[in-house]
Amino acid sequence: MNRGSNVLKVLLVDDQKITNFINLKVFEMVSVENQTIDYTDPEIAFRELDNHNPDIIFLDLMMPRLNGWEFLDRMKSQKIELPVVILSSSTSPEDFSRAEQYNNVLDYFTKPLQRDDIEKLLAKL
Amino acid sequence: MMLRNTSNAVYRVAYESVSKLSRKLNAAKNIDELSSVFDQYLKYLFNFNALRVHIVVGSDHYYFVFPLKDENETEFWENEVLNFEEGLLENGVPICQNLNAEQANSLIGDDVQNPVLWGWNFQYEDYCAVTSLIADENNQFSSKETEILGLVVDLFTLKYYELITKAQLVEKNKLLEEAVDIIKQKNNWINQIISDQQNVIDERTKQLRYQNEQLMQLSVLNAHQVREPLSRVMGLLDLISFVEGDEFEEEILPKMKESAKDLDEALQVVINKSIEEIVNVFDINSDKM
Repeated sequence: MNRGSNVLKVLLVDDQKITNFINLKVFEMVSVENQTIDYTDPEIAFRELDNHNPDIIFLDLMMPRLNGWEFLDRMKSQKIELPVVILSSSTSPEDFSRAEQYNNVLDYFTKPLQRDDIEKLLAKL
Repeated sequence: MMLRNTSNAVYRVAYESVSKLSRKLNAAKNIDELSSVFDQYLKYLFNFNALRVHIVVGSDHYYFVFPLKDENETEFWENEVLNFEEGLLENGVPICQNLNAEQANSLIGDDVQNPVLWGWNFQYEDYCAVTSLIADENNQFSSKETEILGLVVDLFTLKYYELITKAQLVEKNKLLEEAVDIIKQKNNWINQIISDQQNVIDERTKQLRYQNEQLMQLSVLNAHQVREPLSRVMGLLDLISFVEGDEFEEEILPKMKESAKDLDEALQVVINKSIEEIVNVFDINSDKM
């Protein structure tokens, strides 16, 4: 992954405010310096992708208006190849294998987000 | 010379009569027609008072007596095996015997002068024809005429055999058609059963598919709706050791309460949906019983 600066730009997309609160807190604790922005409205988040040009997107699946799958499909059709990590409460194997179909999906985390998960992921990047 | 000419003339007449009889017999469409033609032409071929043709096919006996309608109250016209015929059937030795007054009377009646009984058993591949003839002084039959008699009996019985075989064939065909009809009916019946079973299977498959969909929805509900607030509670719990001062009371606790409430609501939805499904399955199954 090519980062312009040393600060990791993270975009959180989850319709649940509390979840975003938790995730922001977790990102505050990780060792890598990061600039993390959260969105509860996936439509707005999608529109802002160009502006933020994040290094990584953490994406929820079950969201109203635009769910995680639709978000990924829209990225694909608009040829946006930003890396995505699915962060969902779903433990369903169907969701795991569906996520594998997208080339830009790096990983699938089940909630709650753990600091270790992020550290391991960032070590791989 | 003269004699030979007369004899030739006699043979020519006989030959023509036989060929005409043959054509007529061949054209006969049923047994009545056959008997009537035979009756009509016999008298031109040889002299006789009465001719009896008793055909035996397997265990079946068929009787014809010519002239067709006369004298039918005496024994010769009976539809049963006569005494002299039993001998003919057993040994096949031809008969030529003079009848006394008593025998003649019971056999053919008293309107005959010194009658003679002739008898033969003509053997064929599929049947035999026990043929007997009564001739008297006024209607003399000679052994020379045996050949022509044999010939006309051949023609008559062959045609007769053909007609009864054809009738049997028609009868068998009819039975066969009836059997085919029964098979068709049974086939329709079987197809109906198969179709009914298919309908039952289709209906059951539809129900199972519906129930599967409902179960799938339940599992999605469990995976997303229930785990979502639960994951928040777990995430908030993880944060507790990292917060300081009033942050727990002000930030974490209200969020935990809200998440716990959301979890309770999500569980209620799942529980209600499960109960609804159990009732549905129970209803569908009790409908089937």
